[in-house]
Amino acid sequence: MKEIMVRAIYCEMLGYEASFSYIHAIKLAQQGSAIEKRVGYLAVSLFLNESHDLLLLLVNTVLKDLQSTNLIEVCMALTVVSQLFPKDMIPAILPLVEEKLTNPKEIIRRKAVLALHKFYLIAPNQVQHIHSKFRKALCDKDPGVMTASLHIYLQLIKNPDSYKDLTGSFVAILRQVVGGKLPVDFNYHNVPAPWLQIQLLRILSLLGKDDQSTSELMYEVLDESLRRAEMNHNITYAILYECVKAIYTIYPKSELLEKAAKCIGNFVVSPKINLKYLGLKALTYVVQQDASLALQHQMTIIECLDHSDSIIKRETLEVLFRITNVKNVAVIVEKMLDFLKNVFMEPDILFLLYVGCFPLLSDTYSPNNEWFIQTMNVVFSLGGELMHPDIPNNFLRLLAQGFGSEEEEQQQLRVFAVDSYLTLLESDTAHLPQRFLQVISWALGEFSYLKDGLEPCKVTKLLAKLLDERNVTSESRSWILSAMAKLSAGPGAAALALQVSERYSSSLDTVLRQQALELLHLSQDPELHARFFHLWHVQVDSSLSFLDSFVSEALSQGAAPYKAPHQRQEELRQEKALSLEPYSISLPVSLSSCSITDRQSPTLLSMSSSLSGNSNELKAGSSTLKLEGVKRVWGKEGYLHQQDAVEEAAQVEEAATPALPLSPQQGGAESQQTHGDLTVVEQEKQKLASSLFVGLGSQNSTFLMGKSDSTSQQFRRKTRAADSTSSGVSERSSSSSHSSCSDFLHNNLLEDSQNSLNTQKIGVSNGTHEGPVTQSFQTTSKETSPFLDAGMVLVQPCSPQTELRDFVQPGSSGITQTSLRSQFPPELSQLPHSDISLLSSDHSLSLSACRAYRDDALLFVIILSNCSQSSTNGLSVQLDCKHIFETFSTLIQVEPHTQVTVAGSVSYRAVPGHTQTLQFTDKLFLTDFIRPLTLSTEEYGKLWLSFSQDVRQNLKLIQGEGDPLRATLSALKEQLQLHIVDIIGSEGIVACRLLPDSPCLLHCRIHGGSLAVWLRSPLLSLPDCLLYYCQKTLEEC
Amino acid sequence: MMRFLLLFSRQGKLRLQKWFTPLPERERKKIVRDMTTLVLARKPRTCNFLHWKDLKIVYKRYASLYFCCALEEQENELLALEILHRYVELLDKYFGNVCELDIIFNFEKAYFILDEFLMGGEVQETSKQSIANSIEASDMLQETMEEYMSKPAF
Repeated sequence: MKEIMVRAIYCEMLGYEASFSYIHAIKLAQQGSAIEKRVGYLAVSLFLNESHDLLLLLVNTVLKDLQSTNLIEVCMALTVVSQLFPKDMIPAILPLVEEKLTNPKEIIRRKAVLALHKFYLIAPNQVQHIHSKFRKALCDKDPGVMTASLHIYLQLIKNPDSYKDLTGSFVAILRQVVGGKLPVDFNYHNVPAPWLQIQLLRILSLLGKDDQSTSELMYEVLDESLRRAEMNHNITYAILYECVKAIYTIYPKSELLEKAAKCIGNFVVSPKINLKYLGLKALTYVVQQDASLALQHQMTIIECLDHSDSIIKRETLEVLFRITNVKNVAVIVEKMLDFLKNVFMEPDILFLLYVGCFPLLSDTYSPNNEWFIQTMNVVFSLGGELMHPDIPNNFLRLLAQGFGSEEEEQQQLRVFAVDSYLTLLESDTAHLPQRFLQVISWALGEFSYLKDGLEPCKVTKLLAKLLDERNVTSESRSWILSAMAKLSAGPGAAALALQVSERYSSSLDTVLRQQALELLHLSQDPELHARFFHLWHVQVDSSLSFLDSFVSEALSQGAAPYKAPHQRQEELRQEKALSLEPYSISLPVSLSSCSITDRQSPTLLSMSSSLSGNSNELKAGSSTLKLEGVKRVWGKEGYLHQQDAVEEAAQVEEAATPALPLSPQQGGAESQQTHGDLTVVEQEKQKLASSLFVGLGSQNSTFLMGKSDSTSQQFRRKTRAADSTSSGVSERSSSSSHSSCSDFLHNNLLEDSQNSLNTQKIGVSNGTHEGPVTQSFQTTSKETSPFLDAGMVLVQPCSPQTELRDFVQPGSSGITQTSLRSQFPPELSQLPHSDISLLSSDHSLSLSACRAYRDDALLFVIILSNCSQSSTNGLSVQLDCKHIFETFSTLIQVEPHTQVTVAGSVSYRAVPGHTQTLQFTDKLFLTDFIRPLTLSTEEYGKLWLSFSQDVRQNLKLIQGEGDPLRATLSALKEQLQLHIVDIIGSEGIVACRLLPDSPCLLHCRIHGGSLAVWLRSPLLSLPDCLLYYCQKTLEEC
Repeated sequence: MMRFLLLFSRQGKLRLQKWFTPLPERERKKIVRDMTTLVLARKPRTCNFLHWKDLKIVYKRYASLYFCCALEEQENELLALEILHRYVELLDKYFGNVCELDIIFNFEKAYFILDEFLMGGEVQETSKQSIANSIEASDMLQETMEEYMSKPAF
């Protein structure tokens, strides 16, 4: 049987079907003797897939063998478990494998650790509870087990925060390994345990990333590994490569960087091709942080560019691509295109190329539109059908939207495009790939009107010619037809369109036929044409808010809330895992525990918790990452070194003399210079070099400086991104409130009455926001209050009330804060209010303001006091604040602002007949209008579902004693007047409202050391603004 | 993590295959085809690394056999080359001056050695001695069991 099984394996390997033997393989593993079992397991692991049905039959066998007392059987079982095991069966055998971690035999411990590693990879949630046992494995006395546990740690430390404390142990282990403390049989070509070293270096680089204190721990040992790995063997180079990578990943240290750079140099100049490859790879990695390093190796890079091996060439291009900047982009792109023409089509290179020149254009002020279009033409015609579909799509989007530069330049770009396409179409079109044809026809359809003196008729004619071309696919035909439809409005074009549509209305392709008919109708009816193309700019409600009422209705009728697909999957998985419990009858799993886990059905809370804003991260694919690396280089350079470039160019002109005088920054080239006689080829190379490395890192900056520079730049960019929302909003608000301040509130508020101490006469106005100010008088009936007939200005546009109370106290000179407070109206002083702040004053009048928070309104109190001895007459207060009064209920609800400015002036007559004015401004913040919203958890849940606007963000947690969530939330509550609805475990829900009654709900969850906040509100930008204040509050704490 | 390891002859005949991630049969066949054509097309004195989709292919020729493995993005190519070399060393030690025929006729042994060396796509044991020991231990068992089984049953 064993022999037969071996034959079956061999047949299967040669590609013949042997599925009949699968069941026998399982049987053999189940029932055979030890030797047969071994073959049976091997056959199973080669034949079956993780999802194969027969695999279920294997589970029991594995269970039995794991419990066996025979060492070999246990080993076999562990091997097969790590090779293939159905995901949902893991709970069944997990306790057994876990138990093996304490087995006296090191081989079993080692295999058990690796099996757990495999489990961690396929189902990370299920091994979460045994992390502490991994630590034990790390401290195992056997180096083999320790090595195995490092695999797990490499995975775990992808999320490094909770493992920083292990840095010391890793460093200690590495030091021991490098020092040769391990048994000799771990040596490989006299290098002590290279695999272990590399694993540790990787872990250290993950731990030390962006973390200075952790990095400092490892500098010494990194230095030592660099020093020790000096033997001339592949494996030492592998260690060196890892070392260099680690050094450039962790927090930089200048000496180490220097050494690492030297190392890379050794790699690149090595005659061994594999090392050269690796050196280029390392360079690609390093130049992202320090472009000037490429300068040292420029001649090597140039040589590699002409290397016979296309893989090396490719890597070289990758390096070049990363050092692309404004000045060398043309040369680099030309090189890449050469590469494409000569070698073979590789879609990813095309993509690189595209990603390379695309951001360049958008980044710098579009150095040359013509060049861009022409390059893209070459790319399209070369790339053909192999091209990644994103490229034409992005290109068209770029044409349509421009890249944020001047409108004029965009138009120019479009005209260029149209021009070049027309010339292309006029020549032979047979060789153009379909994708390119589609791009051409779209661009012509959209933009050909931009070109002066171009008859749409001519374009249509060209398109019609293209349409009749035999090799044009029907997909491209439909693109062409829709382009014609766009152009068909013109006089001459209509006739041609008619002709074309008649021909194609009998086409066998239904899509073409439909488009032909559409074209027919559109070309005959100009009015319809105009209306149709006007309709294109329809606004789409992407949040589907019109369904909100439907959803809430359905919910109130007891429908289950919507769950995101991945959440459903998760639940399904949980259920599945549980339902399989009976398989492991032999296991000591109590039923009660699984029923409890079963109960953890998703509440509203957990539903809302799951989605954290991953979409952004997802978007940042590999291409965009690369793009970022490139941008950093360009952003730094640009205009500044233009002069250098000119000089260099001049020097290249002089290249007739054998010894080429090169500017000092070309350090690498200087060595060439010493060679004396340069051949013509070399001269050409140098010319190429100088054009390639133009503008790369100024001559004076050492690479260390380059490095720190780039990090700081990165940092800056980050903060800018964080601020962008808030600052954008506040800028907008301030600018609009400055402009066109309406004299909306123009009331004579105060008339001074003689010298009496507490006299006020107050005009009360009650304005509505749409009409002119209507004045009415309203006297409070509080006879006892010091301001007897104190009137109030009740500005009540809708409902955020602003009461203006002004009172003048002539004669009380030298006002202090306390005296002001004592004069604060008592009914207001009971309300929570801000400090009274002096806004402005002059010799006779001082003006202070204070904000008092009423439950349903914000009271803005202006206190005028007369500091001179004389009386003032004819006081009038004028307030300008567009946002608060005029538009608070309408505009702010559409777009809340983080702050608005109140401006105003007071005019008075100190001397009869002579009016003086006093200007003042104050700011009202969004937080002034935020009030707690008291809700029950159920109400919260209902409300939550009915809102469509949501924003997610991670905030800082306040670290103190006690529960960080509680501490953070109560700090927010203090500062921002929020209401904490409930705190359950690591989640909390908070509610507040913006006056008058726009609720905003916050859902907070502890997530990996930060507070993941998810805000929802019916208002568009309220969550944004509120988030800004939350951030600010937490930062100040 | 290593994704798969293939051994094939200069004629493109597969001699050994090991998949560390589950793949459907059809996919496997396609990969094997791709690998053999890609690797066999390489000229001498070119580097031992290739790009294939998002994987890095590292291959090395020993006599008439190509050893070819696929790595994930962050892995170290040189190290993989050494893994292949270590595997060859192990085979050499076991078979004593290994050749292609050894692997053809005793390919299950080659699998067992591989299982002791790599597990789940990661290096399990780097010490040559301990691998040899564990292989020997299971082989001993095998022999005794064989002897035991071949004994006439009374």
